[in-house]
Amino acid sequence: MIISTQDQIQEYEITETLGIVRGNTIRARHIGKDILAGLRTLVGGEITEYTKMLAEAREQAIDRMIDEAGSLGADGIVAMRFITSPVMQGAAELLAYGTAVKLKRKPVLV
Amino acid sequence: MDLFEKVGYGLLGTVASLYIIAMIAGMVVIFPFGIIGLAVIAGVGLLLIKVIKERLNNKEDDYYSKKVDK
Repeated sequence: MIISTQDQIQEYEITETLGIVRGNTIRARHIGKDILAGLRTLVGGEITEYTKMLAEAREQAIDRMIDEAGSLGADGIVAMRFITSPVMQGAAELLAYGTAVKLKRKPVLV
Repeated sequence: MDLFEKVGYGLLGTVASLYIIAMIAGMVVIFPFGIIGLAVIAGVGLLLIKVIKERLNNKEDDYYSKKVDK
């Protein structure tokens, strides 16, 4: 599955637009990591617990979006975007969405 | 998880457990009025056991926790 934030993919032409596909997840760390994250705000620097949490959320959201595109028979997803929003203390929703398309490789001009 | 984390979590878990045991003991002492508090602790405890069981059996969450770093 080719995924791009662009509206077009250079080497391919879009032969069919299948519609919007999306994947989302809401993840949280366990209470021990939340306590660690809170303590890190006292000393400053990267809050690695939440960095990992959002990285996991991104991967899971992308995988779910790809699954939905696959179920439509798509070859690629264009105009892919992320949106994140807080849900509760220590938990955030991450939504990945894009347009599922069927692609055909452009002929190579010699 | 390094040694500091393990010891820290262990201490916090022990204190939390002792606190809950003390709460239950207090509820028993003021029986029958303590039945209300015992019911609340039992209800929350059952929900906690449910979420722990679901998390332990959730292979999808295990996959993302182990495979994804940053």
